[in-house]
Amino acid sequence: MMTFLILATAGLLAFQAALGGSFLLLRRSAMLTDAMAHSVLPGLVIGYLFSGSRSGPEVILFAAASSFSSAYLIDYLNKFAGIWFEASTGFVFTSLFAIGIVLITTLGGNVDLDADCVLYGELLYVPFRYSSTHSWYDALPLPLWNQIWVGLAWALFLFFRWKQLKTWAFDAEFCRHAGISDHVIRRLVLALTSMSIVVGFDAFGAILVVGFFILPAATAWLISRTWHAMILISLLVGLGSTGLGYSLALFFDWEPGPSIVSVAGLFFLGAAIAFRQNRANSTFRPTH
Amino acid sequence: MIEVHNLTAGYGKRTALWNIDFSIHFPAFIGIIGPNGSGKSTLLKTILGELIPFTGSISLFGKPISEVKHRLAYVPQINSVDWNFPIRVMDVVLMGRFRPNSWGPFYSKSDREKAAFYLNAVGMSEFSKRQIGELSGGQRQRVFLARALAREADVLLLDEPLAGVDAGSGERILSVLSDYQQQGRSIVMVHHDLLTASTLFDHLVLMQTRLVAAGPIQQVFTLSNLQTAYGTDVSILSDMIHKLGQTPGNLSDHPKP
Repeated sequence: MMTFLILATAGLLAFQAALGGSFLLLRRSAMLTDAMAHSVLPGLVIGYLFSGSRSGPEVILFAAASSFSSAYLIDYLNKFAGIWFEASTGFVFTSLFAIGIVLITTLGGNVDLDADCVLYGELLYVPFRYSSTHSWYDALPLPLWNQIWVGLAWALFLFFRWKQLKTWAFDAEFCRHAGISDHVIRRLVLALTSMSIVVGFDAFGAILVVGFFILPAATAWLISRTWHAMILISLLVGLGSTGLGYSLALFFDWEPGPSIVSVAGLFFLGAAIAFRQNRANSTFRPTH
Repeated sequence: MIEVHNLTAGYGKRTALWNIDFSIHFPAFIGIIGPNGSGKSTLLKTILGELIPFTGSISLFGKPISEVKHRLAYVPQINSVDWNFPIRVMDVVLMGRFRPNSWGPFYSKSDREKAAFYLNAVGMSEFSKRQIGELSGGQRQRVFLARALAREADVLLLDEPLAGVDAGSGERILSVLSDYQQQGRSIVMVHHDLLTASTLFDHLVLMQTRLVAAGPIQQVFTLSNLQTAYGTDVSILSDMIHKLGQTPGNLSDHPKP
């Protein structure tokens, strides 16, 4: 049962990350997830001070807002101040992460957050964290509920806005002409991504959650020729590395989060070698 | 009718075109021509509403651009998207049937039929299941054209659709455009080749960052106008004028602005 709960939590994150990662990768904004994952920190600390719990709704909202605002700020600096995307990414997230660290170390006396759990997450503790409200909500651990809600939001968004997303991902300019604001779509994708990052952060930590977002989508991009194939393959790679990585972790007594992401990394390496001719001359860079 | 009034536009602090003023009645096949850097693409982008003018205004069908965007279809230059994108030819054309407020993940049967119809019109049916990166430059341009046609808009705008395109694709594109025009619709096209411009269009907008002349081709395509715009080799130009004299086309069918 514990294994099932852990795998369900990781699997749901793999689902969200494969989808969100695919869109961001195709819009050449994959590293935005890295920035967003690091920028979770200040929001997390502030939310924690407000609520005193680590996975309550306040924490999630504060952390997601902080993560989303980093993406917004990066886009803003890029578009309106004319700063390169890489550069604005670089200084926005490092500044926010630094602020987060300062907050942890100064207010941290009564905050149960330390650098280890921020960086590596606590996947193994997932089955022990319940809402303790003594209601039906106690049927599943809190981190799993969080994954379920965010996963559901992704599923609804994709179902109802699939055509718009696809058009946007391929050709944002055309999307604009056809009457859809590419900025609105981008922000919706980033908002959902920040929710996924926050709920994923809890289990995997800041660094690994980025791997989860990028590796399956990048592997799928190397292999696939069609849109559906890309989404499907990134889902399979995400779920496959979760299953395989977790089994290896149990067998060899490794840390499960890093083990899962390492397996995803191996999948990517394999695909990069086997399919290197597929995307040999991809030098295109869109405006963000 | 397209009315451009006192238009000045550009990028950031750089002004690319100054004080453009003209009006042309629809239906028309309008060519925007001029030397490199004369503001042709800038004018097209402003007509599309993609670029906000510094001063002045553009109206189509007597309304500001923002209200008639749904009546425009645009064929961008082919280097504006990622051709490695994992997507099939048919999916690109289907985007032309995309409506902003359609919910749900699937295109309707009639949308699919329309997309297939326009893909056939540009002679690309057999490629419908190919990944777009496997196409040649001319084929890519035809796919973009099919996507714009599938919008079934009143005005088609194109940015140098014949640049870097093989002869076969070029002919196909021109024949599709001529069909489009015959349905009583209008085309606005940025074009760089003076030789073909002389026979292709019925109206011209001749640019040199300022407007040199605009109107029916007979009035615009004159030696003195072309010299003002290009300032160079008169003998080549006069050859062209001569050629134009032999192929007057269907100019007289259209009302003068």
